[in-house]
Amino acid sequence: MRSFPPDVVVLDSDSLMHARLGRGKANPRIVNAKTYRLAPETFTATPVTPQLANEAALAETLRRLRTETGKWEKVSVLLPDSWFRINIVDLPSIPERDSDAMDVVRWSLKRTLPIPPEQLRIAYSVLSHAEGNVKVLVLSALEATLGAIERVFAAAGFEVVLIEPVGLNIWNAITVRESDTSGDRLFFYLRGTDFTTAVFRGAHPLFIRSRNLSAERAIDQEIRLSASYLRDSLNVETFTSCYVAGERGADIHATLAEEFNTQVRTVALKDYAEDIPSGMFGLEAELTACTGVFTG
Amino acid sequence: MKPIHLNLAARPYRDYRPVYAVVVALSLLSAFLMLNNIETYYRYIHETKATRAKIAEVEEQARVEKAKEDTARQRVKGLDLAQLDQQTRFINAKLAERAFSWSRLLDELESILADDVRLMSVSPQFTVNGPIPLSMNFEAKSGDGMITTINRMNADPQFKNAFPSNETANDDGTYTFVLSVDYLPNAPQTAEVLR
Repeated sequence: MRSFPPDVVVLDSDSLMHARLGRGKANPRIVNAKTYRLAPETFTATPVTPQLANEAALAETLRRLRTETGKWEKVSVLLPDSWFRINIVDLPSIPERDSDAMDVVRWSLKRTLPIPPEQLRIAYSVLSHAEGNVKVLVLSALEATLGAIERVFAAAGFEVVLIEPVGLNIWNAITVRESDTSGDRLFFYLRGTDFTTAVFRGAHPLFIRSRNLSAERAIDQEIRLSASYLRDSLNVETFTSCYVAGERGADIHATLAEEFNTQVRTVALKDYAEDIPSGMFGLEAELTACTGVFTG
Repeated sequence: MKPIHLNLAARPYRDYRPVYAVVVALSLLSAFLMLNNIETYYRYIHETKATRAKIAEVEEQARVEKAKEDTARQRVKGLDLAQLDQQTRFINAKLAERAFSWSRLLDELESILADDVRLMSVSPQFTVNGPIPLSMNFEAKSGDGMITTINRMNADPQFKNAFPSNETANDDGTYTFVLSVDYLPNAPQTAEVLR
């Protein structure tokens, strides 16, 4: 199984968490984890990915990180799910050449995004390839923001080797520890301001949605809407398992169990990592995501 | 199950550890083989020292022998072979002449000559081996003397190819004739044949 380097940074609009992992007996060890606060307005909201408005603030935080952690280079950067657009796209066909395929994928995003696809950095993976129908999982984020983040990290002496959503890597941490299944599995990642819902049939995602929470619609309402959509559109009534990650996960157990008629499991860091340092309260989901990046 | 990674980094991570592992393994293998080659070379130098000395000695001997051969060849080239051959033939002829038994020849002639035929002269030409050509003058009282002599020689295994050169009838009623014949001293004598 492929593993990325042991240093992972979880970056958010107001903070940066650095975790260093190591090999453990059964699971990775959390060698060190520390959160650094970012200056206000370091990132400012834009339609898809927040814009890095204050590069100096991020640079200063990285300088402190460098001073405290010594010399290392390769780093994986995890960003909030809401900073990305994750789409499952149906295409009639996909060219064999990577550059041509990327053009087709980029074009397919045109209808679904509020900004020109040329401004996005895109990664995709072909999920299934049938006659006349190719299902593609597409991840995209604003090129300007990602480029600026990489530039500031590079200036501080860090080489960014991975940029992915936190939620996707929480799911990776879960799924690499599970045996093969063809059943439907539900995943919820709930944060203070946004949440991600995903449905996987076997290893393939059927449905992924990341949304900001608003005052008009509570999380319970969102879950009910999602459940209704899944029942109607995907014909999914029940799930073999349901995982909930995030600080507020416990709040929605009852709603999930009621709507999806399944056992709900909380994603607990102790199930995915060893030697967890004390004082990691509120960082369990993010550290779990780190164990989906560094697998030992 | 397999994780899903959709990496948006501009320079995505490439795990070169398997490549490094192969490079290190090949380097170690190369170093081991090189050390093995050096060890084999030193072992070869050490273990074949006596053999190589012996080979050098034999080669030196061969070189000396070759030089001797060349010298001898040069000396042989300098010899007058024609004169040497002539001298050798002369010496061999002399040796054959010395070894020739006149008494035996005369005894044999005596045994074959008829009563009315006498030998006037005999001149042999000596050779080392093989028949000795004889040229003989005879005198006979009758005209049958030559025929009788030839017949008797033909009957004797020590004589071969008897052939008349000439015959002369003398005024006094005798006949002289010359015969050439090959004498074979080593053939059985008449007495032995008769026996």
